[in-house]
Amino acid sequence: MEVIIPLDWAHAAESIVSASFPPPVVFVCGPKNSGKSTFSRYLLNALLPRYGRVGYLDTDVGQPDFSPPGCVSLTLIKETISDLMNPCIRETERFFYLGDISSKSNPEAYLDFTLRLYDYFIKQYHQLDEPNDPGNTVLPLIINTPGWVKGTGFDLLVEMLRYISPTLVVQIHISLQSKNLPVGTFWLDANQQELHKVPILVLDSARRNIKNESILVQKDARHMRDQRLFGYFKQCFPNNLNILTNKALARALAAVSPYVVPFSKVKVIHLHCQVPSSEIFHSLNATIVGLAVSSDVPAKSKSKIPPCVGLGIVRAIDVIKGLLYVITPVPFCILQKVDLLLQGFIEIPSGFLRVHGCASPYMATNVLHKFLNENL
Amino acid sequence: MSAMELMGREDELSSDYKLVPWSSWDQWNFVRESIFSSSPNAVTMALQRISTWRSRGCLPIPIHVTASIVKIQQKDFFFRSDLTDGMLESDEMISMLYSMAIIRFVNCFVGHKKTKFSIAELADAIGIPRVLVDIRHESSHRDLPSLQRVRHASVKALDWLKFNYWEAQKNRIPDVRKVIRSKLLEMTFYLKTKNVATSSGVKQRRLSGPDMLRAGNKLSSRMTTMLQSSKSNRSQKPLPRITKIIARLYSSYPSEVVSVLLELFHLQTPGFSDNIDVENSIESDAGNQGSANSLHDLKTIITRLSSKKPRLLLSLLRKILETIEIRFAKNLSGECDIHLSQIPSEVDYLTNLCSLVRWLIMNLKSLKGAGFIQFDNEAEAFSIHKNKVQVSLHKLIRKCLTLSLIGNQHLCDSVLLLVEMTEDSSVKERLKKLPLLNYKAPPAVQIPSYSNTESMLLKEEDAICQATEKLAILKSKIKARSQREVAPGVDVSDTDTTWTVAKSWISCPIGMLPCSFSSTPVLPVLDQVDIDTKAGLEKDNNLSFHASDYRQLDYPSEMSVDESPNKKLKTSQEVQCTYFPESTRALEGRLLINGVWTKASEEELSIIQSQMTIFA
Repeated sequence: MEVIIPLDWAHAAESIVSASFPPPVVFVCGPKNSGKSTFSRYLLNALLPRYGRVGYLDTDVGQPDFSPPGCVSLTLIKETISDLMNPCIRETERFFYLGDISSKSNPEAYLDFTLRLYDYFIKQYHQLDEPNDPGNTVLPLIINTPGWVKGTGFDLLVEMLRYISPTLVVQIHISLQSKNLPVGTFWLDANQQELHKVPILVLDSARRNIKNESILVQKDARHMRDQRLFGYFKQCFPNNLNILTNKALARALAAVSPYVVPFSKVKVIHLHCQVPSSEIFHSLNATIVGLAVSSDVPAKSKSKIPPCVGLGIVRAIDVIKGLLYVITPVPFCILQKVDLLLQGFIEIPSGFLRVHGCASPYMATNVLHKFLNENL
Repeated sequence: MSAMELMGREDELSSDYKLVPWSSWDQWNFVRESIFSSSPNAVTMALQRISTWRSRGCLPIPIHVTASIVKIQQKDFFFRSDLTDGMLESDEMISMLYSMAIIRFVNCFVGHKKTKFSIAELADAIGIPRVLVDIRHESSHRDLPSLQRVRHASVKALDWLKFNYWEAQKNRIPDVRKVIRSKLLEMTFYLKTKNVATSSGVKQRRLSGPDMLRAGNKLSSRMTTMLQSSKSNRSQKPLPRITKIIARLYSSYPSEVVSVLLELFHLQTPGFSDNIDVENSIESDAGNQGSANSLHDLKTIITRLSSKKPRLLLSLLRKILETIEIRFAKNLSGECDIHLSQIPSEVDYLTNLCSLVRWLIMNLKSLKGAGFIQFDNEAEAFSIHKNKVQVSLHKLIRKCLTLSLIGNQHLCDSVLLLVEMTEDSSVKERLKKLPLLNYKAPPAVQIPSYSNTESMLLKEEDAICQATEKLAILKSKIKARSQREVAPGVDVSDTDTTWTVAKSWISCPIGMLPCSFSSTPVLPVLDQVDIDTKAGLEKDNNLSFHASDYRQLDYPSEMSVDESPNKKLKTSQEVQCTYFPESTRALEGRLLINGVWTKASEEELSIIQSQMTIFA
């Protein structure tokens, strides 16, 4: 599918790139499927030639651009994105594992993760007070947000905007006005609005029909998530293996020598629900977990959950020897420090478990799943 | 059961696989039975398991809804007369909980898509009682309904769930074993047809039903009807076709195929194994025709299947070795003595199994020659072999060697065969030192002649002294080892590293572990071993001690040869690591009840034990 960038988007990106010092902190928001991610990636490509590196704070846990699902991530992009519609997994600078495809399962932790990543970026790459220090690079930042713009989703955006105070807010509007965010600096109260003049750029959604109404492209979100996980776990294998299909990856995952860790050396945190301690192995076997180092909890953190060094698949458990077998692309030297496993709700794609003659016991046939009477 | 139903079963094993939070239907069934049980403990266990499933992220909605309603009922004194005052919630609290659960129930099962139908109409169409819809409306829009009403409604909701989910799903669970059984029977039937046809020179393609039945053993008559009913649509030759079907079944349900295969043939029959090397004597052996025939069939089936799925040999080996081991363990603990057994079938069973082991290993060897099976002693970083089966031969040798303690000639032969396959002369040399392998027959008690009683007594005393010394050495070694074992992190070697790469790995489905000696995938037991079980293991680990004792006996001679002590330590540790079978150790003192390992007390176990001997 070819991506056609409307003229006003191109102009907007141009004006952002040509702005003088300091490098911009751009906050992109709008209702779902309006084209936030596409615009963010387009802007990213536009900023790259001038700055060399661009920070990308991805807060859309359901459909992240460069990280596996369930993660709030900060990525430093160095290379142009060739396919604007289907970005591939990039090495993240730092990320937190929320462990769900929506921020609603734990809005507080979600906000905390986002703000701590922003703090980190500012500290590492956006120190404005020492512009003459040659070692200090000041990079632009793009913040992409989820399309949840009502209720709690709106509140979260307001909190984020207030904390971050971006240099520019890009609002993407669709033709159905009731779905859009309010116009203007909606995150500030009346007297604050006087003090802070934040430029807002309102863009129209890219896809339109003949009547100039925006068309929302329904994406297969689950498929996209599985693709991200595919891309992520493909990194466990050298490129020359040329793993292109789910089938090939599934076979490789079944065959690869996993890492082994004694159960006594790691702690398990269930992010979203309680699991009786006697049942912990039933809960972990053949699931995706976040791998973290407990001493990494950021200073201002409220959730007390450290960032992740990567994700892993608990591929088997030997209860008798007290060993966990984990598959992960995390380099061995970093893995050594990992002492926390975070279990969330990110399901292992069933494509990973289906190997001919090697099918996982968690794949069952004859499962009853239709109840709703759809004949009516 | 009509023939058509039997044939239809195969289609029921649909190819539509879904991710589920349980690893076997037994587990699901256990939860189904427990959650509607009258025992609060059983219900609590089921609820715990469901909350664990929920953490895996793919819990079917009906299970979730059932759990939430049952959880509330467990807090309601109406269903729990054993609740004391302190544990009771207020009536208002309970009715709020019920109302919430019912709102969720209705919303989950009645699609709230925009249709021209009302929720009540939609609910009616799928048989949800009107009262539930009313309670949903009332509690969302009006006053909280009374406790009596919501309590009553909760029962109705559960009834609906029982019928529409739990029972419906139960009836849909594929009976894999049944399908496999019928396919294997069918294969046996074709094999017989083929044999009869070729031996008597009859050209006809298929014998008529009645003759066939007399020729076969008790192959069920339904087989014939099955055949006749499906004659019309069969263009392919029947034998290759059925072989293909079973091979396909094997790739999806390896353990089921293996156990059904072994069950199907009467391994308890005496003399089953006598003809194991003599193929043609079967016809002449009129007396044992039934069993001998089935031996021949079993072997033919295995040969045919393993040409398609070489791994089958290993799965069979694993199953048989494990069975032998369990019997052997019983023997050691004094439950039954193989040699002095009062149960002849037990002896026959073991002998038959042992002879099958040897036969399987012989086959394995020929498959290796044909390049179907690859043995690698070195751990590869990772390998993606599509068709080759990898086995760690050393582990298999260890396993057989341990079991050859039984003193069965077939097992000793098996070890020798395996050693030959390794082409490793050092192993060969070392094994030659084992007196066991020269074992030929049960040691006849020799009564040496002594000149007088005094010298006899002296010699005896001497022998006793030597034995005591050896025993003391053994004891200290075992003690040292058990201390090492208790030390934390023993598996991860001496360094401080927590994470290591698995030393040897054989391709195996996610969620399963490769069996240490046969490399076939095993579903690990996931119930936590609690501390008291662990403590209990130290004192009564009969089998493992025997296994390691045996290695130790071999040491003195080994030490005098040429190996460094370091290496020896390593080998002994390896034995430690690889010896324990996946399934037995953690399960001591536990009983498999409805697919869950439940801890049983000493008394319970001894009661069961005593009853078992009565049955026998």
